[in-house]
Amino acid sequence: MSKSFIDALLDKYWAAETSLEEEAILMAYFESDGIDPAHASYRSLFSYYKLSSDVEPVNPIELTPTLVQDYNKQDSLVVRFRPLLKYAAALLVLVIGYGVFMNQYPIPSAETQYAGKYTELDTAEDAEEALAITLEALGFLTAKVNKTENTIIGNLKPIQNAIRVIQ
Amino acid sequence: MNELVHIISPFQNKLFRYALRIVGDHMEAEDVVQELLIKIWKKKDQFLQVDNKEAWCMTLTRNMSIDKTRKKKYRTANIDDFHFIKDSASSPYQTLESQDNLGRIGSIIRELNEKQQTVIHLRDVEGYSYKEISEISGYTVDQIKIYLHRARLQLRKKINRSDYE
Repeated sequence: MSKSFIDALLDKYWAAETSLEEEAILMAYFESDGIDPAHASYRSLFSYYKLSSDVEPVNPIELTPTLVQDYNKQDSLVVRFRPLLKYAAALLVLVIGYGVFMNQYPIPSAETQYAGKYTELDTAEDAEEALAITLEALGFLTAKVNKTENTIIGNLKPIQNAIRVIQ
Repeated sequence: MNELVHIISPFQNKLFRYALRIVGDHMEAEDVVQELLIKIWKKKDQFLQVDNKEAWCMTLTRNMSIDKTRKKKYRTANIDDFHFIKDSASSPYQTLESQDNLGRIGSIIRELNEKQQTVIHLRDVEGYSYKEISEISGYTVDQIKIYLHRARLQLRKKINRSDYE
């Protein structure tokens, strides 16, 4: 094959304009011993293609009834448990979310939450003191309730006036 | 079952090489083709209706291989790991030189983008027509010509450049 013929084919090849037949001619040329030195640099490229097209699996790839059965078993297990996956995922998200939340906002223990706000009594001998503290606490609670009641009554007045006007 | 194997066997190696180019792992590529055979067996009625069975199988191989690479992060294809130098006349030095050159070509090809690698593989390695490549890859014939043209120009440029390095 003349150099000019191969040059022309190569130009077509780089431009992706060669037919499969022309590409086969190039492949045969680069496999031959009569390569022009000007084309030598492209030999590896065509050798690479040739060798790549000879690559084969090492192990035999077969289709046997046993393989199909094994695959079906695997497949049916996956299919059977697939609906449960979403619930498992949701549960996992909740657990992780709860963990993150608790990490960010831990619930304080009673000791730290009410530290200094109450008096701890150890024995039954302090019963009188306990009664006094309880009465004090109830008094405080009553005062709070009364205050709230007065606020509600105060807030109701404009509403009652409005009802009166409407009537 | 034998009928299916008989239909697939003429292009089974092409399926394997295509899977290998995508998953880049010999065993995994074999698994892809194995699973493909089983899938085809399960859909044999549909398969027997298909006109171009080879293109259909190649497309399925592509999809299954891509799924596999998504599940596990395999390295990209390195088909030249499986090249066996068959030049009987070469000396050990020539063999080493050939391996080096082929490794260099393999590296240059892997620098191409995914689409270019696909069309180079299907055209220059497997010898498919543009129409067949279109059926397998889903690209139009015009797109294929553009990808191939760009890929080949890039290869030529890099081969010529590396010759002087």
